[in-house]
Amino acid sequence: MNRKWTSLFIGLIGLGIAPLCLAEGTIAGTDIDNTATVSYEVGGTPQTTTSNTLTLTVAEVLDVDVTLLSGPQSVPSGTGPHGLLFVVTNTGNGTEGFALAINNAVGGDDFDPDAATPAAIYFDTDGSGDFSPGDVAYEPGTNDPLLAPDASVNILLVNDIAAGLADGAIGLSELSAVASTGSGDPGDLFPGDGDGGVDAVVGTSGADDAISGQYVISDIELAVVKSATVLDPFGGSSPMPGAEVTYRIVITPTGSETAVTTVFTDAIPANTTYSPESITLNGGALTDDDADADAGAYTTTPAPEIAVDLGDLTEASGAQTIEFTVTID
Amino acid sequence: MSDMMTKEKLVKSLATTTSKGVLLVALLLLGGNALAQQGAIRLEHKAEQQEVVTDDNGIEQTRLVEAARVLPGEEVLFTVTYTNVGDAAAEDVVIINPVPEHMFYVNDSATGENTSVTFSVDGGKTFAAPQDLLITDALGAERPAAAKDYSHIRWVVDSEVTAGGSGTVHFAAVVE
Repeated sequence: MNRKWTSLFIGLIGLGIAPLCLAEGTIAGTDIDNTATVSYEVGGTPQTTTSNTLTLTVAEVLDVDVTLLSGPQSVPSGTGPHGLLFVVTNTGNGTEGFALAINNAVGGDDFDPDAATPAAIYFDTDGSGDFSPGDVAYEPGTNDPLLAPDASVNILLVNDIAAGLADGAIGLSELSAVASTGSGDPGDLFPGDGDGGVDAVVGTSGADDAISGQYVISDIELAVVKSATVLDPFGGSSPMPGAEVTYRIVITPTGSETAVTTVFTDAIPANTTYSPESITLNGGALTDDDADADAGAYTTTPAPEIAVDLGDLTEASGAQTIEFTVTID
Repeated sequence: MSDMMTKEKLVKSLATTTSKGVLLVALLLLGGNALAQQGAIRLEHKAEQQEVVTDDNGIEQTRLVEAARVLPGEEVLFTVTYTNVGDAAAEDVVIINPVPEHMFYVNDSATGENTSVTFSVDGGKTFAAPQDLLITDALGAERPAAAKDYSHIRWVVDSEVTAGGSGTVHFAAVVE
């Protein structure tokens, strides 16, 4: 399996794109000075003269990017709240505030998610990526995110899902971010409104960006049951240094839908050492190699864990049994 | 150096050396007098940008306007006009313009009638044609210099600039 390589690849693409969008350009308000010098001789006497100094002031570019971080969220009908994670990035060259808004009346979907009350936009304050109690609600005009050039902030849209929706129905929820100084067509000018009183100019994004996240009604559930068997060096079952512990995980899909590209991961417990090449899936051996084609992987960074690609699971797939072994240190 | 040396001789001997610092000392010693007596070249600097305007017939036309504000990624065309306002011809006229901070030189943009253009990648210490410029990286390996490595542009005027004579040189740079 090559899950890890995929994420590494995406990381590299991200780095490659950054310079092209001209984010991190010369900061608004920067003075660019230019002076030419001429040297020459008149009647054998060398002389030097300098020109007037030209000063160009860099104006503020108003630009913003909104990117969806969450994949399609599988949600059962009649539940909530469910969060969608976005990142808002200031791609301009000045410090800028951004007004955020949620729009669930997006075309091209099967149902409209219900924006959570009293607030549906939250800062991912605790950095969990999920809607959680520590997250601070966004209040328009009160705590608009103020971002330095290239800085970004993670934002959650939080919605409830109505009851009675059909399996597979898709609902879209859109986050928009608009520069506080102004927005419009690229090139629109806001004289003197930029950082430090420089002119502000709308950039290629129109200083306004929006993107939708997706909820998918899914009635598939994966029940996971984990058990352990201990074999000590003396043939008994006492957990002691040198004893082998074999973990067995049984994953049972129930429901009418498909759990797509399911990946099972399990951390190697502290004070134990993974026994190489011990992963099995439904009795068949898997390799530890993350880069090869088979479904198994053992990786050590950031922490030792095993992973098994289960692919698309339906109720017809039946129970999936994964086993692996560790030795107590 | 002998105390007996006259001021004129001192200046002459210093002027034959090539160090800029020494030349500056020589000029300071000469004071304003020498500049007033001899011909002098004045430089005038101008920055412009291309603006696309749609005329009454709906046809897009490009014109140059004075650069007022610049944005990252925008190109600025610089023009330096040199004029000999003195009454004698000036020889060995050399114009040097640093590529402004926060800007990259635009490849092949430096021009000037009757001039030879060379570039520096070492802060103006040495100048050479683009194909002869090398950059040494942190590991000591050399690679050909790119336009964005240029620190200075130099125009050597091929002939003397007569009294009242003038000319222009140009280059373009992009705001980082």
